[in-house]
Amino acid sequence: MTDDVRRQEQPLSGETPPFVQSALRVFDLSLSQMLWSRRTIFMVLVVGGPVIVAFILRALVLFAGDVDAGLLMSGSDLFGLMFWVFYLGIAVPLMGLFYGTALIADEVEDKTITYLFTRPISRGAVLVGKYLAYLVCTGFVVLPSLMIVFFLVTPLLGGSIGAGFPDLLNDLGLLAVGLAVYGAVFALAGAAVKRPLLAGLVFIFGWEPGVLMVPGYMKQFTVRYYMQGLAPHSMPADDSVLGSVLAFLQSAEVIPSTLMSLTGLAVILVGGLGLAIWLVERREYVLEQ
Amino acid sequence: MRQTRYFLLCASAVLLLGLCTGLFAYFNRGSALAVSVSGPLELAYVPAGATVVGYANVREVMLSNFRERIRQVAPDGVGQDALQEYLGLDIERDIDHVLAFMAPGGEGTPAGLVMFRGRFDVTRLEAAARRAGGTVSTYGDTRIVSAEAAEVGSLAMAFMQPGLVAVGDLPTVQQAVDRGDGGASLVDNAEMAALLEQVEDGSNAWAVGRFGDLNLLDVIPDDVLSRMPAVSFFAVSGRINGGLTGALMIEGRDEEAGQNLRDVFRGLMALAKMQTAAQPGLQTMLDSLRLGGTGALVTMSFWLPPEALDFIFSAPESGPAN
Repeated sequence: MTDDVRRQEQPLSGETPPFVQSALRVFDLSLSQMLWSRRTIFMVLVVGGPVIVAFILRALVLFAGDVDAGLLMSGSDLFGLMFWVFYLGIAVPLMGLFYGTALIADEVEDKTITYLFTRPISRGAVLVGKYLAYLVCTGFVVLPSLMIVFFLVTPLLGGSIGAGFPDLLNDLGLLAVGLAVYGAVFALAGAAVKRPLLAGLVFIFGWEPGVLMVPGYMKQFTVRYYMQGLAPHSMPADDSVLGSVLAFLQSAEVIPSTLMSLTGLAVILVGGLGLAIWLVERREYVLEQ
Repeated sequence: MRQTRYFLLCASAVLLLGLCTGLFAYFNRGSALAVSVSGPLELAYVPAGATVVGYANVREVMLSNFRERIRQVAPDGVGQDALQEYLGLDIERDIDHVLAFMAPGGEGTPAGLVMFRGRFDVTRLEAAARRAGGTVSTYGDTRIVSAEAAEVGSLAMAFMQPGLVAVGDLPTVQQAVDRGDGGASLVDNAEMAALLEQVEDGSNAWAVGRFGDLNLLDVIPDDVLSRMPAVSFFAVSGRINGGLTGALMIEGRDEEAGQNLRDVFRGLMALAKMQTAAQPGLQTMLDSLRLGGTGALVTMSFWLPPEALDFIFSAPESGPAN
């Protein structure tokens, strides 16, 4: 048996609160709920991993003595590599996926969306409030994690905290932008698709890396393409023969300029979130019994 | 909820503490140059308009096992015995570091100076110069030994300070002496000072320069200059310690030039990797190449392991077949 949930008519007795106030109210309610949910365990694992790796690296250098002659990179390079692989490659897209798709999909799955949408606030404000809670929740976990990794890894093997600090600021900003953009993309997926998690996983681990490897314009339809243009650290090189062939093929490819990257990310963010709001405002969610 | 507030406070504290510490480290970091040159003394002699400045910490290089490799290539120590006999100079022990620069000269010719910091037998050096037809004079408080060379004009050697000898053409040496007495120098040039900041900490050899001024030096033919990529600045630094680590920073004239340079380097790296698949010594170096940079900036770092250095130094012995 199903029950159609339709938009509640505005109460006659009171006025609808303004959009921003409504969104902040939903944000207030959602933040704790989001922070202390089961997903927190996943989030701790994702951002705790790099911190543990950083501690291990630190211990290795501390106890192994003079290892700099045998290593290919300095502490700054190591940090850059960890930033690319762990944070931009894994943590940010995965968090955007798991939290972004859950903004609406979880409420539908838990059949609690009725209670949200029957409140005298716009549906868009619900989505925006939850999106803001997602940003704060993930941002306050990922950014301190990156900060700890920076201070653990950068001073190793001749690296300098002072010299690397501007890059850290850039990295922190990039993570925040990445969380915001991926969150918007997956909020749209959560609002539009029935199985958003599966679609998101295909997007992150199939579409984005696949399209980025192939020469052509299709990479403009990925988030990572625009993130590359803002990253101060060099991307880790693929040393395999296939990597060399791909690098040769891509030698004519253009990494987007800073302005183009910022514009691209802004378009994705505003477009994704705007479309998600538009969909949520109009769509009828059918709760399965 | 109380635990949410505590969590947000803790996370904010970590961020704030990290930012403050990083900011403190950023503003109090020692200049890379101060680490390498043991003080800014030599830079005071470099003109503000210098085009290229280079530095090598000879002492550190000679103390490393790189010295053995040099000996393999040049068993006679690059004329070491002759220098020891005539000048009393042992390059491996007596010279700490070398700083050199090139700047546009007065009559369209480049002006250059090489400064050696170390331990010198001044009397013996002067005597050797006199024997070669040189004359000793005093310029200000500085003793200068000069000799006429047919093609390059007057060559001069000045004892700028105890343990600091400058060699170059006479006018440049005299200008350096004047500059040491309080004239404008490289450290007053904000552009070059910022470029020096790009030198990697702990480097024992580096060079920085402005490509835009190369035509003023008149050492590179115009047609070659016109074909060179649109580069504004470069900074290259390296550290020899067993292997050789290095970093190169190039700034293009604009974002397009930077992008073109990155594309060229990326293509060359890919091509080189494919062509050196059967040479493990070079493959390791190519694998260590890291290309980066955004906008007009191109950065590249590399690491040559001892095996790759062995391979390179053995190449001349192996002959053209290799």
